[in-house]
Amino acid sequence: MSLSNERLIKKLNKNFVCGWTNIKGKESYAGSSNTHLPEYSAICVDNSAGHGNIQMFFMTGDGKVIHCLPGFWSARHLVNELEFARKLARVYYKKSLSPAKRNAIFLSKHLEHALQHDPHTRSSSNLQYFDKKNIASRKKSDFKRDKGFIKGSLKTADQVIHERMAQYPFISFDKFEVANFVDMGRKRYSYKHGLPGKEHCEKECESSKNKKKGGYAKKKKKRKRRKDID
Amino acid sequence: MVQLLSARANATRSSRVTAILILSVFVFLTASPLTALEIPGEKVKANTDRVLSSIRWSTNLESLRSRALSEKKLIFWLQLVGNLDGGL
Repeated sequence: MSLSNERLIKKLNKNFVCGWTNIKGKESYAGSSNTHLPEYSAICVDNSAGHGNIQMFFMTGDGKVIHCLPGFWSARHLVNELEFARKLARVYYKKSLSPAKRNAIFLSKHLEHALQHDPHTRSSSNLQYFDKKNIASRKKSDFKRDKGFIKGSLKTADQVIHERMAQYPFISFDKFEVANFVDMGRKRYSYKHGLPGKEHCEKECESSKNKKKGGYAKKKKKRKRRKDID
Repeated sequence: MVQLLSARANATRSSRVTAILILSVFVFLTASPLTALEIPGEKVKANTDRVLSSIRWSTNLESLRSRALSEKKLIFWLQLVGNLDGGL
């Protein structure tokens, strides 16, 4: 759990008041998975994995959303995003700025921050294989690059999150379209890692199994072809 | 001639040893991050306890708003499927 990071705890206690709520069965976008008790082992996943299960909101005191991070985030990257939210909050409280100017700064700051993400943040924010598959099967998605040099590949979640946030300048939490915001692939998937009797994840390793199976199948086909030729 | 052959044999042995050493170092370096990906249950439990004990949590957003305004702080609001203290 990234929130247990010492640095993060210090920053949260110093600058934020913290709260949580259980969205299970209450919100349409709430994901579903097996109950994972604190004493079960866990695995580190990429940023934004479990986007339907967890959403972290950074808001101003009067409830305007500055930033939202769906899913799990590594402590290092979470600290960076928290710092960014703090800086952006200063813009909101600047009385000299008009609402239009403030919103324009909000937009540009989010996009600038996405561009400034280091390679480690980007490489740690890849969608999970089943989410990639889901997004790739859609006709339209902001994860898809329609133009540019690397056409066809999917953007990383850290980039899309900031792009989506840029569309909601200082919107109040009640009006924030969480369902659209956290839509990053499949809503339901089976996370079994750490459950009693399921020491090793099944679904998460499905891709590697499939790859292996695919590999074996290809090799078998090749062997058959060779035999046929012989 | 015999001396030359034994010298060659020694050289191949030493090169094998160095190759094995390099390989084992490589395996160690590449394997360690993979094992670090898994967090044992006790660690997860300890981390959860730390999160619960080190941060003052509230489950009421309205009261959190008034607290944030009075303390001149921002709000960190966590939404999750499950309970922070009772498993996700």
